[in-house]
Amino acid sequence: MRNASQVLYPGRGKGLVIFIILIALLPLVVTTQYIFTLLILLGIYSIITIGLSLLIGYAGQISIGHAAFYGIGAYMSAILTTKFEISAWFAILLGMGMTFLLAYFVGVRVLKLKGHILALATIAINIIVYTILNGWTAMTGGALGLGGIPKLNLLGIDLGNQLNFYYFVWTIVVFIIIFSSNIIRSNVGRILRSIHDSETGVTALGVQVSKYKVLIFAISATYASLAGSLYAHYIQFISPATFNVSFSILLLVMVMVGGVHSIWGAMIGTVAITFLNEGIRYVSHNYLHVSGEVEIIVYGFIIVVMMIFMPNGIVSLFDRFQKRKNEHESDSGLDLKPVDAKGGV
Amino acid sequence: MRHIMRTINRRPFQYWKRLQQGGWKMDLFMQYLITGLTIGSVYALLAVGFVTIYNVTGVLNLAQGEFAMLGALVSVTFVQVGLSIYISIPLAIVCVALIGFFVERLAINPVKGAKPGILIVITLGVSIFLKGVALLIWGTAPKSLPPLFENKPIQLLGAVVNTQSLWIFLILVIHLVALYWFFDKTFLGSALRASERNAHAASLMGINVKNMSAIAFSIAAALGALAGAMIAPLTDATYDMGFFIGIKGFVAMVFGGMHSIQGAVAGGLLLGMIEAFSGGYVSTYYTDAIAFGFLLFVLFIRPQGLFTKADGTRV
Amino acid sequence: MTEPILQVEHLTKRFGGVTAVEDVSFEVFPGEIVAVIGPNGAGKTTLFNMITCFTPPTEGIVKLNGQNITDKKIFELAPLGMMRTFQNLEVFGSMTALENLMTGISVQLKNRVFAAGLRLKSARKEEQYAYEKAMELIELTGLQGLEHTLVEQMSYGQQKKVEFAQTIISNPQLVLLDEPMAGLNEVETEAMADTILQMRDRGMTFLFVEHKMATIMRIADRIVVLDFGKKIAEGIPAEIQKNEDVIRAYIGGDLDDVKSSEYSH
Repeated sequence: MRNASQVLYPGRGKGLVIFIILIALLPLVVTTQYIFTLLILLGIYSIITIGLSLLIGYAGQISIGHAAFYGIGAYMSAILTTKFEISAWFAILLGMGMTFLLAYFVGVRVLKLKGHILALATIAINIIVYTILNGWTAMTGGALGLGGIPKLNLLGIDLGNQLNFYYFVWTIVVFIIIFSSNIIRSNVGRILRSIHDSETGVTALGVQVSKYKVLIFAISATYASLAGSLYAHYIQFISPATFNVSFSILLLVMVMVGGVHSIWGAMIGTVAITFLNEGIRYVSHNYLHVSGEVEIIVYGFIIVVMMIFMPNGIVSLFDRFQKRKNEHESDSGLDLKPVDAKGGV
Repeated sequence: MRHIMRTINRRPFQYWKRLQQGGWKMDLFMQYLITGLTIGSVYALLAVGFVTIYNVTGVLNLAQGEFAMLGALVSVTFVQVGLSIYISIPLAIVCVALIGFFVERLAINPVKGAKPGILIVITLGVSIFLKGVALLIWGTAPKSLPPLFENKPIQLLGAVVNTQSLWIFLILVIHLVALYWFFDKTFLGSALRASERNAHAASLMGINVKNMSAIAFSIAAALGALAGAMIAPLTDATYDMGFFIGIKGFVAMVFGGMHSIQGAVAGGLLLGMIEAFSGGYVSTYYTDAIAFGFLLFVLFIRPQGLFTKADGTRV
Repeated sequence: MTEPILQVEHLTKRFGGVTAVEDVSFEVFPGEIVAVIGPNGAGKTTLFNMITCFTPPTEGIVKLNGQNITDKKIFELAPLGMMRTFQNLEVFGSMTALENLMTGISVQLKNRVFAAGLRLKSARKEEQYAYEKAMELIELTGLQGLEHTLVEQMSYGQQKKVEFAQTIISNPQLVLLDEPMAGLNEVETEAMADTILQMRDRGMTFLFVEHKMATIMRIADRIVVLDFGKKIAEGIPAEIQKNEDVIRAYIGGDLDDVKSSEYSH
């Protein structure tokens, strides 16, 4: 009997290898400090958006509140290291653990809601967390923020060094990709995908659907918490404004624009939206001499146009290309199994 | 990127402090009650807009708050060019209703029947776009609208009340009566309700459901603009005031159970009251947390809304 | 005498003023194939929905292996050994046949999310087990060559096969089939009937709703007849064919049913 995973979902390795090579080589090409900082932030954001893609694209649950979990991670790291002098690594893990439990228990209640109402409930969670970060001045420093967060040090390697931190963050991203795509390719992934086709059907097969939705919600929140900790140790200063609903919106837009049904889509969206923002700003300031934040006109416009004409996101372009290639190859007599766009990550 | 996050959010609703200005000797409870009803009326107007759009088109328009922002700023502009405020506000409402119409035609209509996720992101995109346009036109400086009537504090049941508050409340009541009449007694209103109940049957009856969707957006935009124009004299109007007001309208709608206009009004007033009382008795810092905490509480125990009859159907 | 696997006791369902099912009782014994028949609107689907906890009954209880299951949640039934299919196909269209069948076996797996994420040995084992089991069922139900075809691209008959295979893959004791032959052509109908018989020989028990009389007469051990929500007859096929109440119900009820049953002879 053949090996199940080879038969079902062949060909993840190639994409991943290309991705890793790209990550490894980028620092050789990038010379600007500014772009390099962006690349690190992209890695941090990708950790969250990959989780959101699991949640929205696979578990079918929308969230406009992940900035809250991002914030909890960041503040856990910041408070534990600066006020209690706990080891940074332990603080990160503690933050992730606490976020997982919190998201799990909140998720049990919240994920009973659907669609727009669920979106509102997650906004509510975000606003409550944000208000606490702002108001609990003794712990969080309130609106003034918390500074002096130490840089990370991994077994003697100084992660305060930009290049080291860059490789560190992206190694975590690679691990997150593998972990997430393993879930998608397992029976849990099939259960999640089957919910889109028929929740009734999969429930009748003896699956308690809500259990998996909640678990995925908690996992995606844990990713966000990890990203928050990394952010805190990288920037070394945090304030509540970073963890507002508007950041949750930005994350949602990234995932939707990139393509919610694929982990690569989430990453593409993260890169596209980040560079779009920066690009528009650069052009409008330097060539059109428009000051302020007027570029959000273009930004909003592009989001609307993208969603109308490419509801499955940028990644659907690649899917289409892949399909055409497959058809072409089977024409030429090669026996290729159809690749399910959703199964292949 | 940070600048974009920042623009989407600011805490616009601390102005009830300002409503209380002049309240030196007052019965605090009455003061909070009236403040709550005033803010609540604004939320109610927005919530009615939400209900109208949601029930006719199935879209939850997260750009609803931007209509309020536009209503306020367009009114300000008309006043600045020398028009009377009594002309400026209706004119602004008409303009914003037109914008609502075009939003539906250009951004919502092309994706009829899309999944909630896509619709949410599209309305968020519209929201960001409109905010950008406002920024381009009006800049970042806060604008204020002169009060509708001479703004002298008056004594009412032991509380000192801003006359503007009373006018807002009165105007809300008038509009709710008008809306009730519209939905119940006019052909267009009935047609809207029919397309909300059963779009297919409505289209068989010769109702153009597509147009209904655009009309619903225009009505909602007009209500939003009215709400914006009402609060502009109380709080300063800025290009980024919309999103949060919109979310509050959404909350009010959920309190009311998503489907009924009466429910949305009650929900709006309740939310206003929660904010006023928690701000007054707890802390202005935690107003939002308390309001949204209450929202979660409601969603957990009565997701069908507070002001609806519980029905026994299992879904 | 063996204990019944399924006991339906005084099941009644009222929707407002309408009584869809009224005081229906019967039992199913291990290894039996029992058919529920009746004219359209007789309450067969409502009865099925009550047995499988999709609709709570107004009165009455359902017992599975002596255990009261009336108030169970839908997903709690499969672990107890009861599975069902649906009149209008609840398959997963955007997934391949193989994936559909592998999802069908979920109830036997632990589905641990972290084990799956880290691809621990336990997760890999489960995956391999599900795969092998699914391939076995593909062969058994004659879906060879379609393993990697998306279910939404299949013919109706093939989709019915997928649903059936996905329902029985976890080896349930009792399977409820809601019109398993509806929409199938004659060859497919016979094949489905044969598979049911074959699975019965492996120890499964079947309760099914169907309109195609010829097939029912061929495979059913016993028949329960409903009319206007009431049980009007129960017995072996030969008895039911002669039962006057049943004949009256069909002719007085819905002529189409009689016709379609004639065609399928």
